[in-house]
This record gives sequence, structure tokens and C-alpha cells, in this order.
Amino acid sequence: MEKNHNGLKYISLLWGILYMAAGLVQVAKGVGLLPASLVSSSLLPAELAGGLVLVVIGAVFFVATFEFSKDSFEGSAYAYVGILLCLVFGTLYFLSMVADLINAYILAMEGYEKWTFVDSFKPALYLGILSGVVYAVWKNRFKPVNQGGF
Amino acid sequence: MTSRIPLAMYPTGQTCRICDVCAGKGLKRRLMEMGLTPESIIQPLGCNRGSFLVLVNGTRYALGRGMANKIIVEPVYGEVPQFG
Amino acid sequence: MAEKIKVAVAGNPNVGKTTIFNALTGARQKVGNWPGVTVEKKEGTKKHKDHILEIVDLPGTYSLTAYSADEVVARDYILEEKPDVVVQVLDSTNLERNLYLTSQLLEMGTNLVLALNMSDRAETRGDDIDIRRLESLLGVSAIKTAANEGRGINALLDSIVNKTESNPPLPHEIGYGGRVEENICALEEILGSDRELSKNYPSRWMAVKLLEGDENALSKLSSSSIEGKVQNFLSDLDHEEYEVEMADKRYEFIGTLLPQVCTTCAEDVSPSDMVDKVITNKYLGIPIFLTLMWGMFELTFAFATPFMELIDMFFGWLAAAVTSNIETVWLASLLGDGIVAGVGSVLLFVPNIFILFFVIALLESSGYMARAAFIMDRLMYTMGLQGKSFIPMLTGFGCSVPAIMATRTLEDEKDRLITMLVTPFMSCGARLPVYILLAGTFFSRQAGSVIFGLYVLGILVAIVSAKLFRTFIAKGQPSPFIMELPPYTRPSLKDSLQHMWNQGYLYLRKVGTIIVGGVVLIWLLAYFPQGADYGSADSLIGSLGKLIEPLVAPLGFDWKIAVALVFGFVAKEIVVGSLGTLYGTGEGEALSSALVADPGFTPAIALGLMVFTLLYVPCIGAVAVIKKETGSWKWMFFQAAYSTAVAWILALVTIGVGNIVL
Ligand SMILES: Nc1nc2c(ncn2[C@@H]2O[C@H](COP(=O)(O)OP(=O)(O)OP(=O)(O)O)[C@@H](O)[C@H]2O)c(=O)[nH]1
Ligand SMILES: [Mg+2]
Repeated sequence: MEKNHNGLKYISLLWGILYMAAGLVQVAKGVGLLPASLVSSSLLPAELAGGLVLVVIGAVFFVATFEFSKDSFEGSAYAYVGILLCLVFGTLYFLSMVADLINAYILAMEGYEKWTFVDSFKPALYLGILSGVVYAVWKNRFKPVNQGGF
Repeated sequence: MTSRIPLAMYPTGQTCRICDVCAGKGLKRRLMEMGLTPESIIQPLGCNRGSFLVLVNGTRYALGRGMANKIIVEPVYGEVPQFG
Repeated sequence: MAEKIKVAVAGNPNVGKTTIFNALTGARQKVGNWPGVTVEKKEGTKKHKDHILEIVDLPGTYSLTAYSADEVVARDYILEEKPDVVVQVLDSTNLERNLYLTSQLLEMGTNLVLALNMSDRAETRGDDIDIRRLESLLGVSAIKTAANEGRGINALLDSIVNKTESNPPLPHEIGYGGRVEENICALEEILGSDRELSKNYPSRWMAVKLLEGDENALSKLSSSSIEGKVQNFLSDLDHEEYEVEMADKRYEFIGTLLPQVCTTCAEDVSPSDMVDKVITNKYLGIPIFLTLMWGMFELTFAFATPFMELIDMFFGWLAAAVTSNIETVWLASLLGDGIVAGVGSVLLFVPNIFILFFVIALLESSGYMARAAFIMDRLMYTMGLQGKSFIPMLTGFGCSVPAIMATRTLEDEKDRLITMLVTPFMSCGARLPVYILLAGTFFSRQAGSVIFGLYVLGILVAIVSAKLFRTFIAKGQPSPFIMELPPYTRPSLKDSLQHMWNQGYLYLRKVGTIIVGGVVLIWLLAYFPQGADYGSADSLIGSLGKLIEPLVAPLGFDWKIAVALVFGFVAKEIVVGSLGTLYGTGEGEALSSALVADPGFTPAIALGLMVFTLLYVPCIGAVAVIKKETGSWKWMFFQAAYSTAVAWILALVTIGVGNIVL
């Protein structure tokens, strides 16, 4: 149990920090606390709702870390749900990037003249891709397994 | 010691046994028909602000606090008997 | 000459009855992974070996004693229609509880075929069920099925047909023993003296039901000669004690049977329980739910844009073709301003509707619906409802009509009434085009969030209204919440696409009928009288609009919006369709620019209009179903008046605030 969970523990912490940070920056930009151009207005866009989603995902990972630190095996369940949410939202943003791509290059839609690939490369997407890689490598570790009563 | 208390007040996470249902006409039978028979073992799975997730006879149920207050349980000691 | 056989498909909730029904008849009734999907009986036919099977899918029920409106439907069908064969669908992974209903059906003497469904799950778990043994012990036919893979369906058909050819079974008797048995015998004797009654209902079964205190059984006696005698007899007894004792005996009977036919691998806490723990976490449960909802609407909005652009281009081409090729002025106007502009502006949103239905289908088959009910139970309770009420409300994101029907699963009359009254506040698919048009036009990049905000507003208004109704109209406590949680399943792409198509097809049909009709009517009113400018204040529709304009003038809506809202009562998409027709500009892009160009249309007004469209009187279909399900004109009018008043007030507030902020 120990060995199995050590890796997950750190991943959870790291993912929690990444999502929470990206989310908070988006929220702060969204409500105008930070200038939209900070770092990059496309890689970290001003999006209130989208930022809140990232914050929720980050929170799930933080709870996972917290549970791991108590040596509770429930941590793996939180990490699992967290990574699933990462994948779901990664897919969502991927699909919306595909839509943007079609709009810009195939349909040459109005308002997309200056669109570049980076404009749709949102945190949920690149972090989602990272999560996908991690999940593919560690599939078995993420699957929550029952380790006895509660 | 036989301590019979409503499920809602039962310490979280511990296995217990249904010993009675304090409910008006029909509800007791309704619960039986849904599979919550007397003497069944309740395995709590989670609790969310007074609502409960439980595993009884191999089926999972969501119970509101009102319902959890009506189900009287007692603790089970030692080996948990297997059902099925 | 083909022989007709009446077959009923019955069983506990969520065991796969509709899946079996669909497999048997080729129908496409709605399947979903939570208890209470089917709330009305659905009929279908199937020809099999010279026989015509008239198959009826019933709502799920735990026993023949009905507690809620959907269970009444199931019970009444089995009891009163007396089908030739009853197919009871069982969940093979939970035989004990499922056999309870079997024992009641046997007591009634129904011609029973058992379909042990979900056998795939039982097998992977390692259960071993001896079907032949079960058949011989109960005197019924039993077939193993896995309906979602189509396994065992042919065998099931065969055994239904065989069943009618064999002799009708004798009612199966469960010995209740002791004083219960004595009382049953005594009652049987009294009942037997009424020939009419004992012809319709087996005496022993009736006696059992009466002793259990079943009110439905009691009402059957109301016109018979022996009612007084029976009443006398029963008044000396304590039902509550009996009903439990008898239920106990049935389980005892099952308990002696079960070990002989199956070895079950008892299920313990499983990985999915751990996932549940996270999903229903005290602090994370509701945020995760909202996150998923937001994702759903974001996808609906974002992924549809290229498809919308294509449709837009097509209608743009069509409009140009109409104006350049048709010389007759009135015809060109009818086709161009009316059909193309009006219907086109609604068809533009078909991609959104399809994506929305697809995502809803994913959600419904995953098993998350029942969890959402659980997560919301606490909040719903403080607002005077229970968690189960949340499922019809979620269904309302698709369409209000089935959502109002879905309240049938609520046992308590008051719970049900309140839920019916507030469900239309949940934003249905038909309102989506209005949001997408207006939010897309006036809020561009933030459109997704604006739309999500509207959905949340709908939920909030529904919940707060429930609290008001509970405090002032239907006083009392919500009934205690209990619900079976289905196991999670990985949603299948094929089923979800199928579901999307079914729903989307209904939408297209609606566009082809009601919406075309509405738009043509609006065009007629806008075109006449002769001499008036098309769609101007002098046209018929202009006069009509001016007439009702004062009603919405305080909100800042002009007569065009007023007209759109009035016609929107027929179907809410017409709000968009009639704006398209009245602005007479073709659809999509052109309509957007026309709206922006209109000085009467500010972002604040657009926001207010969206809020108004969300909340005001639901469409005529929903109003009719409220009348049907509550059985009262009073509640129907109340709902219509209340929702319109709420819409008016909240729109006013929105526009007021919007004027300051935006
Ligand atoms: N694994 C498995 N799943 C099944 C089987 N049959 C049905 N299901 C699934 O079980 C769920 C419930 O199916 P329905 O057909 O809607 O059940 P129902 O009995 O009609 O439910 P209600 O109308 O709510 O009473 C769906 O998610 C189906 O896909 C089966 O044989 N095996
Ligand atoms: Mg069904």
C-alpha cells in the first residue's frame, strides 16, 4: 500500500497546485484583479467560469493529498476522480479547439482572421494532455482498489 | 449492552444491523419490499450533511436524513455475517 | 389465423425492462440508468411463430402494493387488464429482493415467465444460478438474458409463446402459518360467497391483500354484497403487525428457495463506492455537479459553431436564391422573410440541440443521475422537497413535458405537486436557441458563461419557488427520501447516439410542423394589410404588438419582442423564429447584425429577454401536461400566472442592474 501510493501522493499534490494556480489566475483575470495580459492572455485567459472549474479540480486533488497524508487509502479515490475530471475537461477543450480550427481554416469565419492555434490552447487543455499522459502510464495505480473496511 | 439508536445518530462508518423501523403505516413494509429487511446488516458508505449512502443486502441506497432517523439500528460485534 | 397474446413486461425498477421491451419489439423507448425512467405504459407488437404478441412495457415496481403514481400504472395493468403472460424481468445480481415481486405475482396466479436479466453482470461476479431448478421449484419458465447485448431474447420469445400453449398455472400458495393463515382462511370463506368478485380476483389472493391492509383491494369490494362483513372482520385486526409479518414470510419463503438455486458471491464495498464517496463529498459534491453542468453547456455552445456556420451558409445561399429567382413579390417575401428567415433561424440551432441531447444521454446512462439526487437531497430538504424531486428537474434540461411526467415517481402528493409546478423553471432545450442567439450576439466570448448562468438561475428560481409553495400552499414536511443507487456503467457511444437521434428527430419534427406554422402565421400578420410596409408598426402584427406592448414596456421591450414572446407560448423556439421573421433579414449572422443595429436592443435588454424567456409561462405542451398530471385547471393557471409574474419581476431587476453595469 505504501509503495503504491507514494507516487500518487506527489502527483496529487503537484496537480492540485497546478490546477488551483491556473484556475485562480483565470478567475483573478476574469474579475479584473489581474491584468489580462499577465504572462499570456491566451495561455492563461481571463475566464471566470472556466477558472472556477479548474479550482474545483484542484480542490479534489488537494483533498486527495490530505487523505494520503493521513495514510488513508481513500486518497486514491479522490485522485482517480480528479484525473477523470482532468480528462473530461481536456477532451472538452480539445473539441472546442477542433471547432475553432475548422472555423478559422476551413470555413474562414468572420472574427477568426487572427486566430492562431495558441488562442485555444487553454490550461484545461494542456494540463488535460499532461494528465492523459500520466493516466496512460499509471493507469493501474489510479484505479481505486478496495483495501478493507472503512 | 444493547444500544438501539436511529441510523442518523449512529457513529459514522460502522457496520450495524436494522432492528426496527419507526414509521407510520406502509413505510415499514415499503422498506422491506425495497430490500431493507429487518435484521439486515447496514454498511455505511458515506454521509453527506445528514444524508446517507448505505450498502444493504448487496444493494446501494441513498437515504435522506428523515429516513435515517426512522431506521433504528444496533451495533454488530465481531465477525460480520455474510449475506447471500 | 394468428393468435394474439397480451404480454406485460413487469419488474423492479431499473432491472432492464425497457431494454428487454425494446429488444423484443424493436421499439426505441427511453432507457436510462436510474430507477423510474419509465412512468407510463408503452405498447408494442412483435410477430413470432404465428403469434402476434402485444407487448406492454410497465413502470418499475417493488411490489403489487402501489405507493406512487407510476406504480399504480403498473399494478392496475397487471390486475385489471389480466395479460395472458407476464414477463417479470429480474436483476440476476439481486435475486432475493426481485423474487419478492415474483412471490406476489405467483400468488395472483399470473402466467409467469422470468427473465433473469443482467446475467452478464452476475457471471462476471461469479454467481452461479441454476435456472432449471428455479423453474421446477416455482413452476414457471425462466430464461437468462443480457438485454443490452441482445442475449436470450429469442429464447424469451419462445418461452412466452410456449407458456400460452401450456395449461394455466394454479396460484402458488405461500404458507403464512399460525394466526395469519387462520385469518386468511376465514376471509377466503367470506369472499367466496360473492361469486362476481371471486370470478375476477382469486379469493385467497384477495384475502391476503386485505389482510395486508391494501387500500386498493379494499376499494374493489366497495360495490359488493360482502363489504360490510369484511370491514367488520378487518376492524378487529391490527394491520401493521400483519403486513410486516406477511412480508417476512415471503422473504422466508425466498430464503429457503434461494440457496437451492444459486450461489451468490456476496458483494462487498467496491471501487465504485469509493468513487461515490468522492462524488458525494460534503464540500465537493455540489461543486463537482456544477462543474459537470458547466462543461455540458460549454460543449453545447463551443463545439456547435462550425456546424452552425455551415447551416448559416446554406440558408444564406437559399435566401439569395429566393430573392433572385422568384419574381412574385408576395411569394418571395413568404419564402424569404417567412420560411427562410423564420425557420432558418431556428434550424440554425439544431447542432446545439443535438449536442445537448448527446451529453444528457451520456449523463443518464452513466448512473450519475441518482447520485445527483443524493447530493442535492440536503439542499432540497431545506427548500421543502426531497432529493428524488431533483431527477425530474434534471430531466427538464431536455424537455419539460417528460420531466413533468417523471414526477410520478414521487410518492407524496404534495411533493409531486410542488415538483410539477417548479420543473418548468428548469431551462429546456427549446429555450437554448434564444440564449445562443442573444448571448452569442451580445456577449460573444462570454456567451458560454452567460448561458450557464441562466441555467443556474433556473435551478435557483425552481428551488426558491419550492420553498414558497411549501410554506404557503402545500404545507407539511417532504416525505423521507430513499432511492436505490444503480451501479455505474460506461456509457455506450451507440446508445447515446441513438438517444440523441430520437430526441433530435422529435425536435426536427417540431420545427417542421409547429414552428413552420407559427412562422407562416407571423409572416401573414406582418405582410398584411396591403400597403403597409412589411413587418412595420402599420402591419397587422404591428398593431397587435402595439396593443400588448404596454404590458412589457416597463421592461424596455418593444412591440417586436412582445409579439415574439406571445408566439413563444406555442413553442419557445418561435421567439427566435419570429424575431427572424420580423427583422426580415435572413438568419444567423444577418439577424445578429440586425439586432445589434437596432437601438432598442441593448445588451441589458438582451439579458432581460433571456431571463424572461427562461422563466415565463412554459410552452403550450408543458402547460397541457401540467393540467393532465395535476388533473386541475386551477394549478395549470396558477403555474402560468406565477411563472409569468416571476419572469416579469426578475427581468425588470436584470435590466435595471444591467443598465448600470453593462
Ligand atoms: N449490464 C447490463 N446492463 C443492462 C442490461 N439490461 C439493461 N441494462 C442497463 O440497465 C439500465 C436500466 O435499463 P432500463 O431498461 O431503463 O430499465 P427499466 O427496468 O426499464 O427501468 P425503469 O423504467 O426505471 O423501471 C440501463 O442503463 C441499461 O443499459 C443487461 O442485461 N446487462
Ligand atoms: Mg423502463
